[in-house]
Amino acid sequence: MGITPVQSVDGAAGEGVPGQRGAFDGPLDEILLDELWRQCEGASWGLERGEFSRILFDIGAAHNYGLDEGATASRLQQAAYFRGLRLGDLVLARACAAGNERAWEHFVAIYREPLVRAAIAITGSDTLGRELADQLYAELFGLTTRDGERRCPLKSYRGRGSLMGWLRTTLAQRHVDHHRRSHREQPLEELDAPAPAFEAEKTASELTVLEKAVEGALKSCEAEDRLLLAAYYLDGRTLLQIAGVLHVHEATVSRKLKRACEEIHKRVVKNLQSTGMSRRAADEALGTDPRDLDLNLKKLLQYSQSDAFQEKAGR
Amino acid sequence: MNSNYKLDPHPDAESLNAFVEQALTEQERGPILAHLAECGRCRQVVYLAHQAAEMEAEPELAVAAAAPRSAAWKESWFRSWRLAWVTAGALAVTMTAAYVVHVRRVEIAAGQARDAREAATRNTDMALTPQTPRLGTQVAPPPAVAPALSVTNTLKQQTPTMAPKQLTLTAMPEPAGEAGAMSSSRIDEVAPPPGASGTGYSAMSAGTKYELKPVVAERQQEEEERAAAALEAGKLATEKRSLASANEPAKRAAPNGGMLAPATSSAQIDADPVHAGSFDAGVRHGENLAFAVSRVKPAELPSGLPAVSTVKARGSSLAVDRTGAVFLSGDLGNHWESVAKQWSGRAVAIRVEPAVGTNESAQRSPAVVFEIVNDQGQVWVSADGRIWKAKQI
Repeated sequence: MGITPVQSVDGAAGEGVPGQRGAFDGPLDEILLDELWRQCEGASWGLERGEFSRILFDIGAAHNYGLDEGATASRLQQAAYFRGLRLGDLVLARACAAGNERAWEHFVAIYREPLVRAAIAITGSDTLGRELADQLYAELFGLTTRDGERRCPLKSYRGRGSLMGWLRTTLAQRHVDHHRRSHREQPLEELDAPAPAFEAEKTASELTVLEKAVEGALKSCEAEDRLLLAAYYLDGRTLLQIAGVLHVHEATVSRKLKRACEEIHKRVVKNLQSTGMSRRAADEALGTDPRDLDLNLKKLLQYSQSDAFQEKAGR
Repeated sequence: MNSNYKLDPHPDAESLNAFVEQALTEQERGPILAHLAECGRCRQVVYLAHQAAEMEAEPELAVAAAAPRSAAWKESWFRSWRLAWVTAGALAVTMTAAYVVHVRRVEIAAGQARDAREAATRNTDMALTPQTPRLGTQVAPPPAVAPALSVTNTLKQQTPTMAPKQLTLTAMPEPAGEAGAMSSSRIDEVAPPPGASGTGYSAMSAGTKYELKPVVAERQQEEEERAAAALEAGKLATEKRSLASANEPAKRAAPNGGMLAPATSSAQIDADPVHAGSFDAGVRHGENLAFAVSRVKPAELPSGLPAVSTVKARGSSLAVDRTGAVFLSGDLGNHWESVAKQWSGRAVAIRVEPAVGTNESAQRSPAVVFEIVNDQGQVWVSADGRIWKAKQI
């Protein structure tokens, strides 16, 4: 029975239930499935071929094979998508999530020590790192239950990247979330005192035009430029760190940052001129002391923090 | 992305990791990038995960990052000075080597200067002072040499010595009025003719002539007398007797026990430990003693002591040092090997004698035999210089 990308995820998953050999129709799909099945060596972890087929279909359908929403993936695109998955890591993670003992032994032998080292590197502390790694390890082992069902985060791994990278990112998420939670528990006296209301009103009344011009310029920036600005000016990351995450040379990051700043400057001037200011007045306005502006650049750059994924959540 | 997008506005670990590992398509990368631009939390997650991956790739960097700041400072300090340490070490080695080379050169130069001074002094002594006779050196007279050379001087007046090597016997032309005329001849091999046992010839190299003066150190004289006494007590006495009729003055001229020439040359006994191994040859000419001296390589015995008596025959050289140890050389004195002691007492002299026996045995046996004389006058003989037995008188 054939499964097309336009089918619903639930329906496609139903087609790939264990025992139904071949989630794809046609000889090409069978050949591809055989190739992937041999490649992943899922049989060594007790995984059945039908279950493997269902897992693949679930993953492909959930991401529409890496294509835009609504696009129909050809068989070649499907095959390319599946071949890009880390099938070995995927079947190991699924076998561990299923409680396969041999799979767990292999997982511990391969990932236990790197997991601890990654946690130490993330936290910058041996004690905190080991504590974080042990916490995640217990969670992976399925000690957490919900509604009487054993929950294992490894089930959420879909082979888009390496399993070790997934573990590192998960550790980083745990650490950042823990830090942000504990940061909120700081005493109130350590928080910045809010500015007097009358001064804010006074500043807002005088500099509203400039603030709106800056806000409009930042909102009109592209996502990558905003990421560079936020990482460099808000997070205080170095060019090398940013370049490492984006997989570009740090000179490229520097060049892009400079270009982004110039672009924002132009847009601010343009926005000011659009309000009736002359070019000279706009330039003079840009010479205003930034401390006189009631601008929260962090808020401006991250104005639509959850919009993107709320949009996706609704699809 | 998370399956529960509505609950969690952030991308899941899968998507963020795929973004870091560039496993996303362009269509998937855009939303993640946009979210990262706006979400400080996810940016921090991405940076931490990337940092951990880099440290995993380079474990030593992780260890260095976890190390205390002081240790890092020390390490950086050491690293910054590492090159300087290497340079300083290389400089020290170079200076040490230069010092050693300089010291060696100074020593070599001093040694050469000392050798030169000694050589000059020795040559001067040779020119002005008669050489001390050496024990045991004997040269057989060539058959062609007529026994015309008469020895009339005392040992102090003649004292020619013979070297164990390159014995070249050259009869000096007799001055007018001297006893006998001596024809010129050369003997390259020490092979005394039959019947010439116990006789010695004054050997002289082609070249320098020196006038000998009757000056002998007291110590040397004692050595000579002791050696002479030993030889007198041995077989040498009989040999002397055989020469007595022909050359009585020669017998008197060899108080140190030197081998006396039958008639044409005087016996030369090298008893000078100082000049042992050198080749000093001389020929007396009646009252006016002409002395030819040639220097060859001294005998460097394994014992480190100078040879008091050396002899060469049939390609083999034998030498006796002060302690009585006997050494044998088969390559003209370049290499010496010790001969096991098979005699009693202390060997004081060594000489070559013609072999005696029947014609058949003489044909089979070597033409000459070596003889060792000990400090008690007893004689041991050997055909090859290695195996010795007491001589039957």
